[in-house]
Amino acid sequence: MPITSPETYWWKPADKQEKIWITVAIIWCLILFTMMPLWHFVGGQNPSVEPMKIRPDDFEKVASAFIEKYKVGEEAGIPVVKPPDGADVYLKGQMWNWVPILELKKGVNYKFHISSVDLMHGFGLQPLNMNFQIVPGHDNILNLTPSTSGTFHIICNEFCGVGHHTMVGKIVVKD
Amino acid sequence: MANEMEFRTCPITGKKVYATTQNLMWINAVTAVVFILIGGIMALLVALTRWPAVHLLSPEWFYKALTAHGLNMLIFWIIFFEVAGLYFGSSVVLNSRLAAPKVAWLAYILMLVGSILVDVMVFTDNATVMFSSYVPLQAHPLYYLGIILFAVGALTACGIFFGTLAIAKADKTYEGSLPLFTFGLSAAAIIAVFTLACGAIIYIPTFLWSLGVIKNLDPAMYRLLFWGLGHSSQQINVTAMVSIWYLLGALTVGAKPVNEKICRTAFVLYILFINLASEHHLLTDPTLSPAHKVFNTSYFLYLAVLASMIHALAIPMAVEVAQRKKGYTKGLFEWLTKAPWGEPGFPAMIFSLLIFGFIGGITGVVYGTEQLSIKSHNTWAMTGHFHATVVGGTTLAFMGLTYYVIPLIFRREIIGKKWASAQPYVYAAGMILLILGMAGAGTLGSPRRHWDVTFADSIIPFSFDPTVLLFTTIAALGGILAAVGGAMYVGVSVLSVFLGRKLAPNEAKLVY
Amino acid sequence: MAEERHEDFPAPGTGVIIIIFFVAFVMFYFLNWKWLSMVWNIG
Repeated sequence: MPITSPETYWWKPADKQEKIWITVAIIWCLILFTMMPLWHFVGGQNPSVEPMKIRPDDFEKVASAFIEKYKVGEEAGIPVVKPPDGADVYLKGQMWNWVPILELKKGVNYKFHISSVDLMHGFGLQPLNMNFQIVPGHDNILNLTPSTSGTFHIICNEFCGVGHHTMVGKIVVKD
Repeated sequence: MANEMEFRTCPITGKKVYATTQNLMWINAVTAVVFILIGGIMALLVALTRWPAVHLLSPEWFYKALTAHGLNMLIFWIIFFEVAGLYFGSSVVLNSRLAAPKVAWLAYILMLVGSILVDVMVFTDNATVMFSSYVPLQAHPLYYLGIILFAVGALTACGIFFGTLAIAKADKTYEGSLPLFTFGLSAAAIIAVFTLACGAIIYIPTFLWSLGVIKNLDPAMYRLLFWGLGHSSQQINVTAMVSIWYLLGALTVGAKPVNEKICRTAFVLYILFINLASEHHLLTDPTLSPAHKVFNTSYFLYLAVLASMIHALAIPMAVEVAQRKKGYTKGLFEWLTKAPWGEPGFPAMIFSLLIFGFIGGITGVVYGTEQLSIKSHNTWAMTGHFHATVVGGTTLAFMGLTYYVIPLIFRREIIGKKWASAQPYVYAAGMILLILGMAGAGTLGSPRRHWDVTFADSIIPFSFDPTVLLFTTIAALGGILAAVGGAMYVGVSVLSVFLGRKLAPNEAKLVY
Repeated sequence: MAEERHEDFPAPGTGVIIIIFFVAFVMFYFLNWKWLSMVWNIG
């Protein structure tokens, strides 16, 4: 009984059923571990993080410079930016929008720099459902290659105040 | 205050139940139920707001209610209940007087004052920061102080637990090794010490930051340390839940572990391999290298997964062996079909096991994998995962146990036995619908902690695939059903504890 | 309590349940890798 002391010699060998299951479970746990480094070699989705700190006001400056350089228009009061191939792309999360709106090309690799200038935000790209934590004071660097074209939206999925539900951004990927 | 040495002898187990222990168990358990009531009301309000058809609360109230829901459930309900369990597992199970009962009362007061302080701060608009209170979101200093007081109280209760174990050993109140239940609780208490230490390391600086004493707190560092506290605290809940599964198995069908060595080793694995495994909460954060994440997430986490998989076999095995011994040997499943499904403890244990294992455990491993996390982080699927583990798993098991604690320890007859028997079914059904709804919507991108997933007011027009709304509705309906189940639990418990007929010593009985 | 014959598989019903659990685990796990492979490349 779990509330009485076990018999004196409780260190006993397991029966076959338990031994088989424990063996299977250990092998499965090893597979679970192995899949992660393995995907770094055979898979295409590996956020290889270069830890990079950046003060919010410095990020604001760099992002603004990026927007000014490659701005092609405006939508809903938010600048639309079309960066050249392989450029560093700066995306700012703030209460309560994602700036700028981006026009990208399919199949091209872009180095995204995503940060926040106020609170934590959650980058949630739809409908692909790719999600990243956006931390003020840190640059989330992601080498993204849009492999599909179309219109994509960025929602915010980390609580950032009372306007959190209005925070939506946009990425348009052209062929 | 009762005399420290005053006890009665349980007619069924022969255990000595000291009056001081019984009183402390009573106050902590009753307080726990008060907090699940608060947390449960918040849950219903949140569910009715996320359901677009109702959209009950304003954004301000929604985020307040959500913060309160998280804290009252994940911290206050669960930990008050676990403290009652710690006193049972040490003093009652080992036939020993409780170490330092006055200090145990101090621990209770600290926990109570802390929790009231936190709730007052949240409901007065001073701490709408979610359970995780991510810096730079800032709450009123008294919020952080409340949590610190609560944590100190809980840590003190763990100290009482270990002190009682020491007294029991010294007074030789039991022979041989610790009973499995107490062994499991010891594992939980050890993890609790690590957890609460992490809590101190993060909440004290944050408290000082809220006072302006510390000027800057790195949000990334906060997240890392917070989840050092946050995830380990869940492992306490898992360890306590598993211990209770063994106990419920014994209470309902007389199950004994088939092999004690294996069960105990699995508990030790929990201690060794969960404490540093908090980085699976930070897999999409911009601050840790992949090597770091892979190592912390798998090397440690998967050994804890192995431990869970061991218990997943050991408990049903114990139940099956006990049932087969009683003669239920026909076919593969007569042991299960002929089990006492009418007793609340049995379905509570089985559903807790199935929900935790099949849904909670599997989604936990999947979502906690370095690269897979990208598809689930901050989505409602994550919320589905932890409702499967800590609600469908831990809370349901605690509920099942309550129906035995009331007659056997508090010696009150259960009022509404039919309601008690039905309650695990209602709650489990509601939770399963809620969880599957959350997981389905979240897999399609629906966010957690979000007031309006129809994005009616968004700055750029956006809407989800209609399937998201379908899953959201399923979740809402499940949530309402679960709230009914929760109300049944609170109703039966409170009525029975306060108004249940007092049972004479020879009346309380085990049911198998 | 001593058993005359130490059973190899004392709980066959549990054995079936645990196999179903394991198969579900493996399938859901690899399904998620499949879903991941369908999103944009990172890194």
